[in-house]
Amino acid sequence: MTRLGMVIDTFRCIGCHTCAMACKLENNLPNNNWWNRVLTVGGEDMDTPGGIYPNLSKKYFTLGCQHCTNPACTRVCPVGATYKREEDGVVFQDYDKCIGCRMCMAACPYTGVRNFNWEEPQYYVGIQTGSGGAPTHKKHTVEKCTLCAHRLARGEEPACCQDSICPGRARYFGDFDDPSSKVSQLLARYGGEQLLSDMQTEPNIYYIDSRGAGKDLSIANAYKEALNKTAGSEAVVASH
Amino acid sequence: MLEDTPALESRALTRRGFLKTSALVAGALAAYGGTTLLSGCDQNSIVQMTSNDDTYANCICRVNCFGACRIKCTIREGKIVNFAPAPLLDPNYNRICLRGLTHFQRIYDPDRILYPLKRIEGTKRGTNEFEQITWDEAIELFSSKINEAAEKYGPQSLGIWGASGSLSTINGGGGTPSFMFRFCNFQGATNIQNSVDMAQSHGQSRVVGGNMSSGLGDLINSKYIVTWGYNATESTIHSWHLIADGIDAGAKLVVIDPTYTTLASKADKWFQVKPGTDVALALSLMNVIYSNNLHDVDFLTNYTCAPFLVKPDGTYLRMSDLGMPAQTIPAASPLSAPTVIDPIAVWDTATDAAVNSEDGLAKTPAIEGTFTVAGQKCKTAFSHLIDEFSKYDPEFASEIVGLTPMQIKELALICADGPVAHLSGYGNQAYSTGVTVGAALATLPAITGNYGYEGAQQGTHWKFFPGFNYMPTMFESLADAANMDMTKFHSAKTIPNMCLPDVLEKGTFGFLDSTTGTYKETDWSLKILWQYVGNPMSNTGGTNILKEKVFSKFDFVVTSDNTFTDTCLWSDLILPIPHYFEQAEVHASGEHGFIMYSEKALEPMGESKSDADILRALTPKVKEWKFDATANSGKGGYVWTGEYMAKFFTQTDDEYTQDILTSEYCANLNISVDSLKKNGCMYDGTNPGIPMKGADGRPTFLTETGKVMFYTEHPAPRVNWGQKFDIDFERLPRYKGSFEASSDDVDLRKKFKFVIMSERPRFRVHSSWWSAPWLRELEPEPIVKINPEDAKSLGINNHDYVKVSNDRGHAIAKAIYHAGIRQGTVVYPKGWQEHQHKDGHGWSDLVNPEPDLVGVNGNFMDVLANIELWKG
Ligand code: SF4
Ligand code: SF4
Ligand code: SF4
Repeated sequence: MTRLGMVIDTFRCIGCHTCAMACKLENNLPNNNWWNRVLTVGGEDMDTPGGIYPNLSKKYFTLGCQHCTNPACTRVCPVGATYKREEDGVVFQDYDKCIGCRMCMAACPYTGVRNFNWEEPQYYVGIQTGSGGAPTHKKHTVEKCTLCAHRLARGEEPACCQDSICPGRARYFGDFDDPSSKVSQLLARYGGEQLLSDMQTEPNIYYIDSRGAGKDLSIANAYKEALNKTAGSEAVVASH
Repeated sequence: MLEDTPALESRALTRRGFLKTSALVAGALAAYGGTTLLSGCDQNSIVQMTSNDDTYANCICRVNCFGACRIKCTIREGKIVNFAPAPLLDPNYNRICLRGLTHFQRIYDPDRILYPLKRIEGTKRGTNEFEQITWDEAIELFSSKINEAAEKYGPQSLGIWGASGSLSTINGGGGTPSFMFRFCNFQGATNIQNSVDMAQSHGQSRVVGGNMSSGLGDLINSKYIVTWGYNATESTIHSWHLIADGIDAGAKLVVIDPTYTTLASKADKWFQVKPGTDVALALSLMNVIYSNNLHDVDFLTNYTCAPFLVKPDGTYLRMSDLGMPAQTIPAASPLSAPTVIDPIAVWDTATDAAVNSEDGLAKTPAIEGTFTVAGQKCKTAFSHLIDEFSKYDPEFASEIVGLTPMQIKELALICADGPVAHLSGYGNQAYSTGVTVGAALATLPAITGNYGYEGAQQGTHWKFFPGFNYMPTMFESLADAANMDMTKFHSAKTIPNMCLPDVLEKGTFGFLDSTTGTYKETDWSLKILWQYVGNPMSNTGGTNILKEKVFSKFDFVVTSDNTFTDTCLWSDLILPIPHYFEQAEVHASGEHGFIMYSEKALEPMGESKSDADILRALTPKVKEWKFDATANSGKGGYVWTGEYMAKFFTQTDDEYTQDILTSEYCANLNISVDSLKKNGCMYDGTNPGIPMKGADGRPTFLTETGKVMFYTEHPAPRVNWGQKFDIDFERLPRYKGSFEASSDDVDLRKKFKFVIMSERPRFRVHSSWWSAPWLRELEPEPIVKINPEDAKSLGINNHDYVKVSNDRGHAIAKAIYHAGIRQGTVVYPKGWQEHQHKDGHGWSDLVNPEPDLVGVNGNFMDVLANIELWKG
């Protein structure tokens, strides 16, 4: 079996948004639409630390679809527009089938990783960017990270994990079912956290801290806390 | 706790909406037509494209972020649609960044300048009333202005001001041997030097002769990585992974910064110093190192000026003082100076006598003490340094630098436990005391012998290709240069931009009189300003002063650019230039050790012409002038030769580029236009990660003596116009309060409560990318980061708009609570255009444009101001 996913090293991640931008470019994302976002664990605003001097801390992590082994979204889709691919574990999204009911958005506990095009998608520059082959966005459909399925089909990594794209060299992509893969080895070496691991979704995006310096700063705990705090309001991580 | 990109809060803020908030830019759209030329790139209507016939070009991103990224561009149906890192020779340096991925938004910017624009007759500058004109009209207008001014006031009346908006060769700024530089010299125009980030290297050059950084690849050999004023994770994000590699290899990261940067959040130790006090800190570290006997006597004796004897008058005791006549070797060429051989003397403890430091006979020179030689009390250079750093014991320095004595001692022990990589940014030198920062930081590693071996380094990581031949910027041909035919030699005078208000006021500047060797106030009229590869209105300090005392004093202001900057707004004529990827060029400056060929991915859009092509179009109409001592009834003056400048600008881009790459250095590395075209990327001889050491494995320094010269006998200002300064102060790394941030002026500190520091955010490079909409989704508006305690005491809530003001002006921005900001300071990300700020005033309003007389360097961090809630 193949279980594709990512490992993000939160020690090396500096929250620069280059991966998020690579995703936007590759998938020709419409205005104000981000499939891969950078979140700050720290103060109230982007890039601000938590704590009080001298006990400050700050970390970043990136958030997109977790390509769960046990996805909450696919189960609720009435038309099978979103489904888990047997062959590689990608949780795919088929715009042609999607009827825009947004059940999947409600079911997914990782608020904001799914986006809904309320209007005809808008672009600052009317060209189709990216390496080519990404599906065209449509009004009234839900969309999200597909692990750049169109690139996988060509044997390439997702755009956000392509060679040398990450200035921190913090992102790794691979097959968790292959023990010799880089991602498996990183997990074996550093452990790694999953977001909302108690939700039984079994995400395939893992967060490690290669330095262990911020081990006390659990990405997973911070994420959970933030979601609890804003439950129902969607304010912090929502993408309405 | 957990914060998302602001984009998600600001969905409604499209770029159009954003622009609509600005009457100025809306006007600009009306004036120059918006999107008409960009068929197929309109907003909101996506064009279906097929990728079957994609072509590729490897282009270099040419801004001054040090990245010098080689980018693989995809061209599809005539449009540039994708960007990815292209290979360098060492894949560890392959790179791109969030900005590099958005180049298409600069290329297809609906507000891009595509035709020559002229300020409408009768309107005022800065009111954004422009009309489109033809290139013929533009050339006619510009050339006649140049000619008229030259006839009336002399050819120097044209001032050419280039910054760092492109660091390539033929169309580059930032000191590259560009075509524009040749024009400036041949025309006898005034070279207006963009005086930014030059103080540190000046101080560093005094001490070690240049930059002693061995590249970030060497960090894997370091025990400690100590950063000084270096916001690497923000301003040079591609350098972070090399620092992280060093950490992986076992180095500890120590960050010295007033602000808790992302880099600080990764550090083992963070020292939150007060801004503008790094010299006091460095002196205190030397103090602790010395008093704990951790200094390296062998290194000091053999590789530094420590044993050199200094006479009571402050100059070195030389062998000529001891009766050995100095030898003079005549100058090798009319462009160089004669060499005087007169070695410095040291005190030999074996023979108790002053002896030659260079003949190798002094076996045991004293590095400390005062000795009477020829009736004069001479003290060693090291004793002078000891006198200086002795004043800064940790208890005393603590107050100045804002660290506890314990912290200073801790940091000193780290510095003594090498190999240490001292990495400098440019933050700590953007104060009026910037030169001493460069000198002090270069001196510190010498105390412990932390130079010249793996993992030991000090310096910044911007480097300039050493192989350029500058002769083509001055001689008519390479053959003329080889023959030193001075009848074919042309040169221009340089004036630092910071001196402009004064020069324009007085109409004079102090130039060296070669007959007397002194500086003489010389009549100097400046009438026409041509700005290229830069946006001084936005990036130079003191915008109001710049408008009032610089721009308004010029009769005619011309800007070449492709984006409508604040500088364009204040111009009379705007000349459209291509985007980087629309012209082929060699690129050689950045942080990695490669020289590269940047291919042409697209045709220049609209009617844009490269600066080199503008010169080719302009020079057939620009008159050539010659100085004639008999003119002006014997007073001397410039007369028209009857010819035009075009005869000097007949070369193609490739021909000229080949000339500036014709050097022994390039030949040794087989670097030529052809080889660069063929290979794309080549080692430039400054290979990253190689320790700075000589062939014998010992450290080599680029000073005249080959040693670390922390005692400077004849300190010179970075730019000399005969100004007075405290020579003795400059001889050693000495601390004093800066103009504002660390000022000793109690009243000034009472009047203004906050030090205003800028950061170079990852969302722009200076002002480049100011309009790129994807970046604006991430960072929609100007913010200022403030410590919550300070904010609360001023009644400022998180996200309130605040007014930051001083006597020079003000800026409005959204306050962001940031617990890692040192109390008493605030930090703003720089580079917004004025109209992007509420009420139309930008951060540069606040910056002091006054030059310090030694560094003559932008004081971007040396700013005091007050903060209050903005009531709108
Ligand atoms: S590109 Fe790398 S360092 Fe930057 S935000 Fe993404 S994971 Fe983090
Ligand atoms: S993260 Fe959400 S959208 Fe992605 S697979 Fe899991 S449940 Fe589905
Ligand atoms: S802005 Fe700098 S780091 Fe980004 S792509 Fe251009 S050169 Fe590279």
